[in-house]
Amino acid sequence: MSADATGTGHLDATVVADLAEGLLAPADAAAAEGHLAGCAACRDVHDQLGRVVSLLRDAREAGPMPADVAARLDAALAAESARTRTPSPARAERPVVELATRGRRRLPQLRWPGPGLAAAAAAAGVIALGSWLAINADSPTGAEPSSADAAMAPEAGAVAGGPARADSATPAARAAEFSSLDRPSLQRAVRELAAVEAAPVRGSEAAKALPGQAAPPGCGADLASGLGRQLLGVRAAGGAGGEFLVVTQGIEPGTAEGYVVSACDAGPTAASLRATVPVPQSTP
Amino acid sequence: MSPAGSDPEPRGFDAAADPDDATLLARHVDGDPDAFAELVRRHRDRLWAVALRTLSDREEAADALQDALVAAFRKAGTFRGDAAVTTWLHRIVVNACLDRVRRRAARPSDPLPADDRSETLSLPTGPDPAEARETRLDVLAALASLPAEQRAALVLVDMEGWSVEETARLLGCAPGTVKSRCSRGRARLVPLLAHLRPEAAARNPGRLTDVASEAVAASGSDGTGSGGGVEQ
Repeated sequence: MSADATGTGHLDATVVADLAEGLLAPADAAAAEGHLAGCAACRDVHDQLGRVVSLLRDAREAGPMPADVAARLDAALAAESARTRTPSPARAERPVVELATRGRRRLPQLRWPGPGLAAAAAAAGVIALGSWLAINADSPTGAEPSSADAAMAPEAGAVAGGPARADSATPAARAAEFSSLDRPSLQRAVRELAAVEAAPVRGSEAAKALPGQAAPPGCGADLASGLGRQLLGVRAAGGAGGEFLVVTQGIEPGTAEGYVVSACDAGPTAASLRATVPVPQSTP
Repeated sequence: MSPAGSDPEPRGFDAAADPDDATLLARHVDGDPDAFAELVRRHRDRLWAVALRTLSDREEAADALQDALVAAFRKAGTFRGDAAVTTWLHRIVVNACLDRVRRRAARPSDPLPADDRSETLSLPTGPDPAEARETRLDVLAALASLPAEQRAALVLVDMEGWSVEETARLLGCAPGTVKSRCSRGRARLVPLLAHLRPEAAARNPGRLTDVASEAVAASGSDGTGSGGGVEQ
């Protein structure tokens, strides 16, 4: 490589850069160094190359991964984990708990009834929601309170996992942590919270069919705004752990996402995405 | 100038974390459902930075990162321990990004994404944030205009502080190739970033007002800002 590759009497910037990296053959390096010693313009190019390096270093991405990307990544890895782990016979006794307790921290596990009872509870929850929709479709409610208002209604009869009366579940157990819910129940809870938002008629009656209890005003707002999403609903678990289920619009159109947080004002970094569910675009 | 290869560890690599990465990966292979997510949480900020700067597009970077880490999840059993786990993760992510660039190049109808000027949340907050932000966006735009392989080399070596040897292992090429890509990339950036030189900024009437007002605004504070065009 000729030291004067530009035909202008000066070194090409690539030659100067190669010299700095030790990439030139000894003869070319000696020629380039000789030129640099006597040429202020080429020494300037050398200095500019150094400045490019410092500019790149200063432009380094310093912040954390954005919360929406992190949530998406967590969800993808959780889905992959769920897909690849075949439950062992021991796990099959309560596969759902094992799945749902994955997260940032281990939480006390709800002694959830077996799969049969869980399925019954799920069915009961669907029926309860269906009944609520049927009743309220005829209701002449003029007011259109937000889903947050609905979720804040004082009625807190329904509990996490739906209003099923599983004999083995005490009220305390039924109101336990959202983290302890099995995946289908959690998905259903997210769907129900989102459905209240999608329903044409809303009211405090909605809370009766929803999982958990009413959450304090403003709960989940920080998370939703931090994610840049619309808040669809929030419920308090009512258990000692004080968890909340926050449901927001999903990244994809027609989806909703459920986050479990341990405080009302938790932001995206403290939230754990637990379920992404499709929600109906049009209301029933 | 010998910036490359001076960092034995990439910046931000937390070697003191416990359990170590290799242990977490082994636990994942053994069936621990939490281990891989924990491993990813540990490194995701750096992996994201590399993906974002290699692809210069937020959505593409998110897609590439997700694809790469799901692939890493699946093939964790093939990790042989001949490199650090973080190198292995970076290799998978960078390769996924470069694959995307090549696929994009094979579809000329798809426009190259513009540089991500909407992304302002993680900008550095120095004593002169407005000037630093302007400078940074110029640098990122210039970087995005480079050929992908030069860009990836500069992102890893100059931005992230990986050594030339580690970067070579990561990109699957010889150290000399990494040096060459860095050298050519830097040479291409010189004219693209010439306007950011303090004396050039002072000569340029279009930027003079901005620079002067920023300099006045910053005069009461520490002037050693992060790459601002007014530093001495």
